[in-house]
Amino acid sequence: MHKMSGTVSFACLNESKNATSKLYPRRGTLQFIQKNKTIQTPACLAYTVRGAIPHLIVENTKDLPVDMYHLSLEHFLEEKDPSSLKYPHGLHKYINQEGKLLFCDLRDPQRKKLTSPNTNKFLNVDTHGGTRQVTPDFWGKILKAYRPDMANVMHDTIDDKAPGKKRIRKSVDRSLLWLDACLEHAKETSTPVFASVAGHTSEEERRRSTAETIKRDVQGFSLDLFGMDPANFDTLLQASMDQLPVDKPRLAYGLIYPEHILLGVRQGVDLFDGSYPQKMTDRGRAITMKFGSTSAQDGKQDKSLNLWDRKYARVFEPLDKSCGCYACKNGQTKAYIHHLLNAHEMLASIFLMGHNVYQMNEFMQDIRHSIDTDTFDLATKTFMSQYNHDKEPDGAVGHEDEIDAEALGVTVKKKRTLSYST
Amino acid sequence: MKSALTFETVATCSTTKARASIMTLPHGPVNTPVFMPVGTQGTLKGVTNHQLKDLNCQIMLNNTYHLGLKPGKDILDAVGGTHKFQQWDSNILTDSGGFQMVSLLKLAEITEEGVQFASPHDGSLMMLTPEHSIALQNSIGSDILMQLDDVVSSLTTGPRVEEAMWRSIRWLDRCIKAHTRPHDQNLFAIIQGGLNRDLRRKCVEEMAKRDTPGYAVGGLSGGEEKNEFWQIVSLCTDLLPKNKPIYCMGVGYAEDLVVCVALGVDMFDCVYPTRTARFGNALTMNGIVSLKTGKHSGDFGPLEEGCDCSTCKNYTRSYLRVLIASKETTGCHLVTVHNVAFQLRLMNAMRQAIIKDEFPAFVKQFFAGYFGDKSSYPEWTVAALKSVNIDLTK
Repeated sequence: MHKMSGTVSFACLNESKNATSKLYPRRGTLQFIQKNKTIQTPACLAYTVRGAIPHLIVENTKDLPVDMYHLSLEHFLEEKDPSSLKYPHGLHKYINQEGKLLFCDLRDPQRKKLTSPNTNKFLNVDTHGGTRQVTPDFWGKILKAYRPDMANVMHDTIDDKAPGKKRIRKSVDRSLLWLDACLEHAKETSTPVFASVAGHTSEEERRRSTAETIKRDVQGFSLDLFGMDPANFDTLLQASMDQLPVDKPRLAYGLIYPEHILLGVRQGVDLFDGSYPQKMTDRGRAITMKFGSTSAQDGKQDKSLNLWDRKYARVFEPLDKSCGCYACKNGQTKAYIHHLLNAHEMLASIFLMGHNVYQMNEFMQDIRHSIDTDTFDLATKTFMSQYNHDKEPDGAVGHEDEIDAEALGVTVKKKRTLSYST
Repeated sequence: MKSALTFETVATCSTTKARASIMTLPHGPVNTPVFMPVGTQGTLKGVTNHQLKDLNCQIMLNNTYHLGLKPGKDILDAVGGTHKFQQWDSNILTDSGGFQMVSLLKLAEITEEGVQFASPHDGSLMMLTPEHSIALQNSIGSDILMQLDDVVSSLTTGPRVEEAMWRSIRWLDRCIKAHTRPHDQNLFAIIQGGLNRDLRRKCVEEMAKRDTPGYAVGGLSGGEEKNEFWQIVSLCTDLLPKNKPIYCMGVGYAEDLVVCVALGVDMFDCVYPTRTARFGNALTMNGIVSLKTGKHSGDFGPLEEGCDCSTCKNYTRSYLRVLIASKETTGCHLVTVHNVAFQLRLMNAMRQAIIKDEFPAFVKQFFAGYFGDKSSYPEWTVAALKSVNIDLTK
C-alpha cells in the first residue's frame, strides 16, 4: 500500500469486513528491501537471550524456519564498557546471526529484572554487572555499532503493577521525550524504528500517547500489555491502536500465550513477542497444539505435553511425526527426552526449544492461513473450546527422579563378612 | 575368546612405541590413537549427534552406572539398547560401573562376590557382581564393554593391591563366562597391580591368556606421581599383545595424551575437556584460554587461531565471554564443541604424524607450543619421552 523509508516497507493485504471497525485480523508483509527478505504477518519475533534463542547455538537452528529475532539490548550491557560496541562488523556478525533479521529493544520482553526508577535523562537497566544508565545518546551509540534491521526506541516501561495516574502520565511524556531524541540518532544511521505507545492501564493516557506519537515519522509502533489484567486487554488495545495509521506494523508486548496472541490478532496486532516456546521449554513441556481446525473433537486437550511425566518413559515415538524440528526429524523419542529431563541433561532443553519454536511458527502460519481463507473467527472459536486454557504447570515441580536401582545389582540378603574396603 | 573387532596397525613410529591403527567395531571403524569423549548419561552434555558426527567422532563413552539408574535396564531392553535410545549409530564404549559406584555411593565396599553398596533408592544393601555388570552392559549394547575390576586407588599400598589384582583376574573370568554377546560386543580386560611392577607383570601374563579383544590399563589417573604413572603405562604396553588395542582409562590432559601415545597406547577417555568447557575453559595448542576472567572481553579473534570447528569459524572470544560470564547454556555448548574438536584434532595430528613417520618432530612442536619455555615442560614428560628416544631438551 504505502512505501516508507528505503529499507523497510509494510503492506496490509486485507481490509476490514466492517466499515466502522478499524481493528480487525490483518494479514501483512513486512519487507526488508536491502536484504530482500519478507516477514509475513501476523508473526512472532523469536525470543532471545544474549543474541541466541535460549539453549540453541546457531547450528541447532538450521531446521527452524524463523527469520526475525527479538534482541534485548540490556543483555549486552553487563560490562561497563561493552566490548560488543567496539566490534567493527555489527551485531549480526558478533552473535553469528547474519542470516536473521534483528529487532532490538532495550528491555527483555519478559521483564525478568525490575529496574531502578528511570529519570527523564536516562533509563536504568539492571545487569549482573550493575545498573547501567542508558541515555538516548548511548542508545544512538549502540545503534551505530550494532546496525540492527529495526529498533524500538527507548521507552519508559512501568514495572509497578498499580501505578498512579501521575506516574502513567509521566511515562507517556517521558517516552515522547525519548522518542524525539532517539529519532535523531535513528535518522543518522537510517535505522527503521518503532515508536512505543505508552499509557499502561489508563485508556485516556493511551489515547493521548497515540495521538502524540503518530505525529512522528516512524516505521512502526509497539505497545505494552505486559503484566496487565487479561480481562482488560481488549479495551487497552483498542485505546492504543484505534488511531494508529493502517499502513504501519504494530507490535504488542505482553501477549505471550496463544489465547492472548489470538486476541491480539483479532484486534489487528501484526507482531508478537515469541516467549511462549521458551516458557514451555523451561517447564519441560513440548507444544502440541494446532490451530486452524474448524470443528472441535470431543474432549479438551492440553496445548503442550509435560515430558517430565513418567508415562512417557517407554513411549518410543517422536513428539510429533509431522514436525520438522531437529528432534522430531531425527526420531528422538518422548522416552529419550523424558530420560534427559529425569537425568537433568542440557540436551533436553535443546530438543524441546527447537521443537517449541518450530511449533510456534506453525501456529502463526496457521493463523495467517485462516485469515487468508476467512476462517479466523471460526478457527479461534474451535481452538478456544478444544484446548485447556489453565496455566501450564512446570513439569519439574513435584518430580522425583526415577531411578532403576534394581538394575545395578542384587539385593544382599545375608550379612557379609568384613573385607577390605577401598 | 571370540572377538567382534579387528585391529589393524597401519603404521608404527620408528623412534617411539607409537602406532597408528584402524579398529573396526560393530558400529564402524575407529582411527587410533583415539580420544573418546564422555557422554555419561547417554548424551554428550549439550551436544547433538550431528554435531559429534561433524567433528568426526567415531566412538564415545557411556557410563554403565548412570545408565543403569536412568533410564534403567528395563527400558534399555525395551528399546533395544542405547544406540537406538540415543539415536547414535556410531560406536559406544561402556565402563563396568564399579569405579563410579565406589566413588559415588555410600557404604561401597568390595567383597569377593562383587561391589557392595547402599541402594541410591532406599539405602538397602545391594551388590554389583561381575555377572550383573556384564548383563547390564549387554542390555546397553555397547560395542566395547569393560570387565568389572577390583579398582584400588593408585595411592594404596600393602597387600590390598595384590588382592585386588588377583580378584580382578577372577572377576575377568566371571565376566567372560557371563558375557552373552561376544559376537557383537567386545569385552576388554583391565590390567591392575597398582604401582607395583611385579604385580602388573603377573596381571598381564594372566589376562593375556584370556585373549580378550582388547586391554585397558586400569588403576591409574588417581592422583599418583606422574613419574610412576608413565612407567607403569610403558611397562604394560611393553608386555601386552601388540595386535590388540590398548586403552588407558581416564587419561585426557593434552600432554598426557601425547606422552601415552608415544608409549604405545591406542585409546583414551576423560571428562576433563568437556567438563572444563562448561566452566568456560577452552583448550588450545598454546595452552588454556579461560573465558571466565575479563581478560578476553575485547578479543575479537577465535578461541584458537587455525581451528576449523564451527565455534572458531563463527564466534569471537569476546562474545563467548559474554555467554560464559552470564552462564548461558549456549556458552557451554560452544566451548564444548571446540574442546571436543581440539581433542580429536590433537589425536588426528598425532596419527598423521605417525603415518608419515614424523611423530618425534610433532611431539617437540606440540610441547613448544603448549608450554612455551623448555623449563616449563613437566619433568615427567621429559623423562617419559626420553625412554622412547625423544629428547625434549634438544
